[in-house]
Amino acid sequence: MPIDYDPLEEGDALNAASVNSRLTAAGGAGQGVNNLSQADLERRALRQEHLPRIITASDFPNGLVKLAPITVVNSSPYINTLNTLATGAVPVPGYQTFDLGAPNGPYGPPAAAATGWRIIADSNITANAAEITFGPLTALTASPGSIGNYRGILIRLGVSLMEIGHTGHGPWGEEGIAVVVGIGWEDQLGNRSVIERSVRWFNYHSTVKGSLDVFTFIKAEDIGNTNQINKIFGVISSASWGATSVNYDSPVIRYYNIDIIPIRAGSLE
Amino acid sequence: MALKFPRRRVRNSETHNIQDMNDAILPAVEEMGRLNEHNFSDDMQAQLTLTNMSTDVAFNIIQEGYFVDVSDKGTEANVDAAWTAGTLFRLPQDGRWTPIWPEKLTKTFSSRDGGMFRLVSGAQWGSERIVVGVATPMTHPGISSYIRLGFRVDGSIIPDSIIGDQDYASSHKIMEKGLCGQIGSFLADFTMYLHPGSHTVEVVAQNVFLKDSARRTPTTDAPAVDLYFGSAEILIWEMHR
Repeated sequence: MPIDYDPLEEGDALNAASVNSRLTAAGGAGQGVNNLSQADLERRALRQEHLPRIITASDFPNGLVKLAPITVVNSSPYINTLNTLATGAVPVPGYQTFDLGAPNGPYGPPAAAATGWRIIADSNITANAAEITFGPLTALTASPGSIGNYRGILIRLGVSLMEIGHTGHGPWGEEGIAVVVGIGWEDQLGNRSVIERSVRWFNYHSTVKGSLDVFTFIKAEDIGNTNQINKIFGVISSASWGATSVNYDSPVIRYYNIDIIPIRAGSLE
Repeated sequence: MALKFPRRRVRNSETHNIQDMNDAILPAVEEMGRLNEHNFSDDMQAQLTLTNMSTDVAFNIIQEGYFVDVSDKGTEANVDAAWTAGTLFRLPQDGRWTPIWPEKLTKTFSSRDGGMFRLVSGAQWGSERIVVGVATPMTHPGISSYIRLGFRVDGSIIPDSIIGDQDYASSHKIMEKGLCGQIGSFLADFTMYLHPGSHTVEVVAQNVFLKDSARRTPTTDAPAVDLYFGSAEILIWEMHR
């Protein structure tokens, strides 16, 4: 209880000074009711109708979740690759390279082998792409950093791997060949980038069928000071991590989901 | 309204004594420690603003991420070099629960009020000996071990957080299920209650042999087939508001 109130007792003077001193204790500047702390509130005293909204609805007009349509029954293989597999040289993946070739690049499975990421868009339908447009939100990198009104944005991507499309060797792909997924974002000018720490490789021997799950927490430093982010998306490709291969074994995916959770937070220390 | 103040107003020409004063003020003083939802206006929602990340915050977080390009980790020499340089984390195949990237993913923090915490972590892992055969296609997949992963909080592994596959019967030497094989990734997402105070969260993995030697051919290969971890990230989210 923050109020240091001294009750009047029999014999005490009741005059302006004694009354004012007690009123000051109850509500003077920086005292009493004017100095309440969090501990003075009953648990749950501030409820939904009192507290400001954590997420501003207008920041995310397209919602926070995007799911693959269930009406699409199949997909073509994603035959795009991050690197050249046939040469036997140590591959150098283009983690920031998008396959912009036709059709509809970088969305959906490409019709011909090409280098670079494809944004997941089953059956090449851009409207169904694993991407969510929002904002734009401006990043400020000054400590502790913020993106719009948020400390950062938690992104989770799940991709259901249906099968591996093989072209020449065995039903489960070759050594050193992986399906790679990651999370990317787009700025207000339409420039696309991939958050490299979100990139995850899954060897075909490790994941024949199943869910390829990745996440990342996008921070202001990922976006750049005063730059804006207005879209996030999931990317997919094949890649080699060093073994020579002559074929591009390609993932065929089915469902996918991507969700964003803007987090308003301080530092947990 | 939980509190009516003042309980009675002083009228003109009315005398006021000590007891009257105490009766008027003490109830308000005593209620100050018990303010509840009835004492605050609905207008507070519009009046309060959350704009300053350092003060007007809703939750608390710790986050750290790390990127490793694994595109050249297809040879033992490159993996060994990365281990030496410290750019990959080595996980011994000894069946023990071992913290992954402890200097990056292990976090110690203090919670004033306690509450629900969401722990999210993921990482890239791979096997050192991934190329066994020399033909094209490779004749031996180099599959080495099984991995289980989970969160260890204040020294105790949280059983419900464990993911991974240790079921030998469900696996084939080539077509593995679960978290095993040459290269892969995991995502662990778990929510739990933590009491007020200091806590340490680790992301731990167990690299297991299920037989007396590495499950890979040829058998002349060294039995100790370690795993490496590359890119990794953790987010610890104190969800108490």
